Amino acid sequence: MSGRLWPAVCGAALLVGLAPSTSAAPLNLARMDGLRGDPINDGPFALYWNPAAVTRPGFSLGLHLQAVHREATYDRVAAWNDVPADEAEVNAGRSHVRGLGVIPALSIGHGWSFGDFDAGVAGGWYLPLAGVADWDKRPDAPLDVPGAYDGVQRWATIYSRLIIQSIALALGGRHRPSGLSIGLSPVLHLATLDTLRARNVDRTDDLVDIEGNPKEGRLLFESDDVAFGYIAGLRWEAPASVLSVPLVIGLTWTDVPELTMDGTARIAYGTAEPFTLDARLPFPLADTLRLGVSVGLSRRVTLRPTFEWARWSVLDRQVALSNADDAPLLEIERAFTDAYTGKLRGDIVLTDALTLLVGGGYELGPTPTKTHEPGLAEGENWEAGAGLRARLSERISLSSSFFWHHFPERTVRDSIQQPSVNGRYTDHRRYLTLDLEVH
Amino acid sequence: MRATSALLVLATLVACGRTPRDDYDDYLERANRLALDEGVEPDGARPPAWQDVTGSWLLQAKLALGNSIWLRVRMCAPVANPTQADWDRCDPATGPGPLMVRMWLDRQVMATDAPIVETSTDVDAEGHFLLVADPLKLPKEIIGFEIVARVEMYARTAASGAWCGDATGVVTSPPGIPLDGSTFAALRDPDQTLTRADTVWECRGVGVEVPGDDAGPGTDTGPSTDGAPTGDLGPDPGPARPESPDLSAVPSVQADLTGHYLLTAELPIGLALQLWLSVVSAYGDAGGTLDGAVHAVMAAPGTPALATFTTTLTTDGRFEVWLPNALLPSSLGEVEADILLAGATLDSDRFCGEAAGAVTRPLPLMLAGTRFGAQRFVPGGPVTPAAEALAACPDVP
Repeated sequence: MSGRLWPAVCGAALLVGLAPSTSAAPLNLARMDGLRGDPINDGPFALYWNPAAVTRPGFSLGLHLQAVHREATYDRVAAWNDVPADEAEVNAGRSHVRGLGVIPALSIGHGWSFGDFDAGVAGGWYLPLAGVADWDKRPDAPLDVPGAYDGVQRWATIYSRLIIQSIALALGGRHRPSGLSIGLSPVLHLATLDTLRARNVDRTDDLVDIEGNPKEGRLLFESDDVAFGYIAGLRWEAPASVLSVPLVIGLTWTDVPELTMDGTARIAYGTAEPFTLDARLPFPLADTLRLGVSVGLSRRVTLRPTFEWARWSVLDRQVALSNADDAPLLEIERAFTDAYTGKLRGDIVLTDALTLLVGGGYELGPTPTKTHEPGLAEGENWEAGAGLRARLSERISLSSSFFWHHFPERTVRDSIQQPSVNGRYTDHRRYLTLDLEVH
Repeated sequence: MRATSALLVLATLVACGRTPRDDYDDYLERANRLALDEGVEPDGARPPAWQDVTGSWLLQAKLALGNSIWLRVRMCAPVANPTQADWDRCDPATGPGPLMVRMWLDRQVMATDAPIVETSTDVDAEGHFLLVADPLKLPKEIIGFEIVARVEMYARTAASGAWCGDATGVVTSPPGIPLDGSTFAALRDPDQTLTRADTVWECRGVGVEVPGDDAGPGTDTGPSTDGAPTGDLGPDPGPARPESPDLSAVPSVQADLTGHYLLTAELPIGLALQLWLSVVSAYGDAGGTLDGAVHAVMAAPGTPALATFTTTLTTDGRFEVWLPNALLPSSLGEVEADILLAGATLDSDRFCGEAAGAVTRPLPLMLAGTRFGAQRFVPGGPVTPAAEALAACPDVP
């Protein structure tokens, strides 16, 4: 990792992974405002969910804390990966990763009224995408295979850390009589990716070469990048004069630039001397479209259906290249498809000061089985959650949500990764969010 | 960035936790420890016992770039003051301990010229010692440009009394030159009578046994097509020439190929290798000759060749180049290979073909099925990406 991003990233990494053996959910971590996080959101984190809603007059402050717990396993089946019987002890079997991470976010904003118009600005810092996975070691691994200590998933990942921090400044405007709002949030992304995997130059999982010498090696890629993106939003809050039923519609487009992770590759092959190269890894990320609706069914009950489309099809294949001659150092097949998510959430007002939040959702994940691997991969999944929002005073409220996120067990027998990572995968995640809002 | 750092000040007060780099370093440590536990050095050489290495030596170092440099080294036991030696008397060592070290270019006279490096070392009971040349300044005429570097040579003594090892370090000027992967060997030369042709550059050449190596001692001053290495360690028959690839289906024409080429080879595992090839061709009635030199693709003009060759051309422009024991730089570090290139001339600007043979280091790898293509190239100029360079060649069946 280059020195320029080290302090921020080191700090963020520490927050994402408080414990030494920690993991956090890959791909999407944005759960600011818990179950209230959707394109309708008009809280302090509207700068992320929908910048058109940063127009609420007055000062606003949002503090967010999210605890993530993840437990995942990978069972590499020897017969499905052509692992010889005498190597099954170190190249097949079950690997495990489990840990707790804590992710903060912060937002500060202010809105003003000018006649029929409201305008607002908000600035904030958050981690929209991150993943830290340090798979369990195998202290019982045979000493004559030095690579085996890192687990059977080591051919895909040993320890990977992708962290994208975002600094956003949102501007929004609303025409109060029509209820129409528009907003834009330029975003600065600070990205780092450090990943270590076992690697042979011929992409096999051979432990020794044809002469019987140790062959297994390692490839460590440490990189970072800085890029700009934006979030654009539209929001329409139906005026009471137009519609008697409370109705809000929000639409958000999140544009994320293609990152070019630039850094160094440290490579050790077999008995050869380790060496270091300047290298880069193009890393396209998904743009996302979010559409949300809020419908007041009664004075106490509001329904909020949401649809999301994430353009993960941009991530087809990743190739780390040597800067010296563009030689490929690492090739990872992705073949991601677009991800589609549907959510249905609801608010039930229990008392003037207390609201119950409930919700569930289903996502058609982006990773096909053929490219599923213990590193960056998500198949179909669903989640359910519940929470409470308490108004502590006229200007201060506190909300908390708990999410249960489940990935059905996935069996992979058509892996095109080299070496193959056929096997059985499980993944379970829990999130607990805590949000303090001052307005 | 400052704002972000400020937000995270609390976090950054604590040292960043374990990182992927730690796991990488742990792996290297485990791999090295394994080798030592089995009584084998990390590169496969068996550890020798201590021997007295005081006296004068002629050292050849083969840089990762493929170039060789020769140094004269004099090591003497310190006198009463442990930082001084009597360089004329040059006291022998009686056991493991410190030695004073001076280095000269091989063209210099040790008795009269000032050394280019003066340092010290400490030889342990197993005959291991570390020579640090900091700075090591090499004038332009050595390898084509001036080099300033900090070089660390990890040496061990061989049963033959010579010493050898691996070198690493940092080139400070010009930056970007790799040193990792460099090797060296030193032969005793009390009267300064040895010549460059007498030296070797790696441990195999001085009798340090390398398990699994039955190819004989590694001698010679570099790869050559005549195959017979120099030195006093006996003739080496060299690797066997592989069967020639069949290029009969590839059209070929007689054309003057004289000039510089960017040669791109795509190994079966997807690894690309690019080299700068300088060739001179001449035709007669019964065919022609093709003489050439192989350079690192990024080498500056004036840099000595990694290898040279001479071969024949058929009347329709076909040829074969046999490069046994070739040491070639690649994106994966230095590659040692026995390469047979079978080529066909497409026109006066391009030739393509298929390679045979094998990479022997860093791991055994057969080259059968390796395509290569060459197109005209301006040395020092931009390098066409491998995929684009190969696209100019027809598929070789």
